[in-house]
Amino acid sequence: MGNHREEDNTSTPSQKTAARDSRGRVIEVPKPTQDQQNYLEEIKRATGHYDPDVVVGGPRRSSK
Amino acid sequence: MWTGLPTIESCLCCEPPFSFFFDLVATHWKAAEAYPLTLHRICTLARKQGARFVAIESALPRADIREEIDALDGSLGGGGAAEAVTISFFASETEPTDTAMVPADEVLGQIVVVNYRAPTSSEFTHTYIYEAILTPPALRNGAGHSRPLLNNFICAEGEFLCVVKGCELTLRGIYYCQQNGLTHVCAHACLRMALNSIGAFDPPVSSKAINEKLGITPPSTGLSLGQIAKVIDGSQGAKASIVECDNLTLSKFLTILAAIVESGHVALLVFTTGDPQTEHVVTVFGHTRNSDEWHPEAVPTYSGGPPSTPYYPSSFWIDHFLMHDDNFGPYYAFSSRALDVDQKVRARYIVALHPVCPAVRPDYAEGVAGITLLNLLPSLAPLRAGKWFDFITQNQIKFVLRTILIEKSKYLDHLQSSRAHDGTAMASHEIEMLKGLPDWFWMVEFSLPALYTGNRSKLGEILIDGFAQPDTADLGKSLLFVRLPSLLMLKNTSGQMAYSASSMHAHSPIYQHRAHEHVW
Repeated sequence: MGNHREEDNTSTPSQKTAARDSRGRVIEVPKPTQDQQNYLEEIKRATGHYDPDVVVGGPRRSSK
Repeated sequence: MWTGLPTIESCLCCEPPFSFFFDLVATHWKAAEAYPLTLHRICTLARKQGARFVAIESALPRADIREEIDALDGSLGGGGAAEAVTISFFASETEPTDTAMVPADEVLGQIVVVNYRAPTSSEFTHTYIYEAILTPPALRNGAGHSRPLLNNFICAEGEFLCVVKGCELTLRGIYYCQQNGLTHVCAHACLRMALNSIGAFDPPVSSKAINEKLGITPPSTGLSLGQIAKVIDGSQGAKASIVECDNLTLSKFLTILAAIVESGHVALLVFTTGDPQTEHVVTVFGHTRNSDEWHPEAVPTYSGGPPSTPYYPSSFWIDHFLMHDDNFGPYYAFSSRALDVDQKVRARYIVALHPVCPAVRPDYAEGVAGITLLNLLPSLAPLRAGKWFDFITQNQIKFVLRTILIEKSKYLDHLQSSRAHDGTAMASHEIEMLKGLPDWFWMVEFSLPALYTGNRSKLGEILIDGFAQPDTADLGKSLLFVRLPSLLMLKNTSGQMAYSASSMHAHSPIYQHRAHEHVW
């Protein structure tokens, strides 16, 4: 596995963290920021539960 | 008991000066109250595809047609009269005296028109298209060759046995039918269109069977969402997954509908009408993609404001969805903005017919994938080297994301057959280690606008668990597998993402549920 960049001293702190983790061959998935969580919460909220009693089935349409 | 009326059987040349308007529609659409929009649409499609002959026969010998008329007649007390006319359309140069000799791609389709006269009436009271098996519209060059319409992707086609002049023909297409407004309404029609097109019932399900399953005695005033779900859930291979659209943005609505179609599944789309008491439903089974679409990249750039999403949903490039509307006819394309132009006609529900019913919706899966890429990629840079790997880990990139519900076996087949732009491929042991994935999951493909629109390729994908409860604070719980150029990350038994090398180092073709020719 080509992880030669582990020795790269130009890496950022987060890159170094990932590099250390790579010795155990696992990656820690970064936690989302609060804005990102809000974005996902908004998606969850936007698709609410449907009412199974809502009736679908309009009459025939005919535009002459 | 009703009286069967005769049909004069014939085969007509329908090239000019034959008028579909006067010589076919006016002859065979007999109830004055029902304007023949649907038959006109079918004839329009036939004309556009170079129809040369129409064969007219009686459909009354068919048991399913007699059952249909029994139900209609019974709901009106019995004693009416009916005819049922089969109209078959041919693009063949010579009269199809022996239909077995007609090349398959010169048979455009077959429809059945029911004309019914109620017992108390001297005029026909009900006319409707009981069934239409029409091949998807194609460009025909006159030499017996046909090509699908440009950029038209139809996600599923049924195979139907039709009889023309005593010969059996197999036609492929999306089943179409129309309500009669009495024993069945648009919800029945859309269920039949969807379920029969995916082969969920054998033989095709009828409106009578739907009513019997639900314990409904006509007249029918509609089906509830719960009843629609019950019929779908009782079929072979489909489960209803229902999304309420009231609070969805247009972008998210399009993402969800696109994900269903890209997954190869059909959907029912319920929308409001000018009558607050009435909602209508249509069947969606495909889309058209415009790879030259300007707005996905240009509008956010010109607006200068914060982006609405940290990625480009691939649905931005879908300009139309393909659908049947039982009121207007088959094989229409509706603009992705069509339900955003009139407040009275708005999307209410999307009913996906997936083989499984995921707990996580595609727009959420797409959001998780987009955020994961944004947060994760920079920290991966030290782990591998490679042209594409370096590019995506060392730059802030706004990816195109395309979300598909996929079965593990199809995903593994897809990886097995994929060859990257540079000729590299995944090694068999790399694919082997994915055998422990769940049977179904959301696959979110990620690409760059230029790769997606030019090469129809992707840089990798993120697999999202479609059945675990979403946790917005810990996205790692949703991840199953991440594939990048040169690097793989697979969740291990401890719930951690373990990485290893990938032998594929460049972009590779996007997943296509069905072969999709004639694409720009």
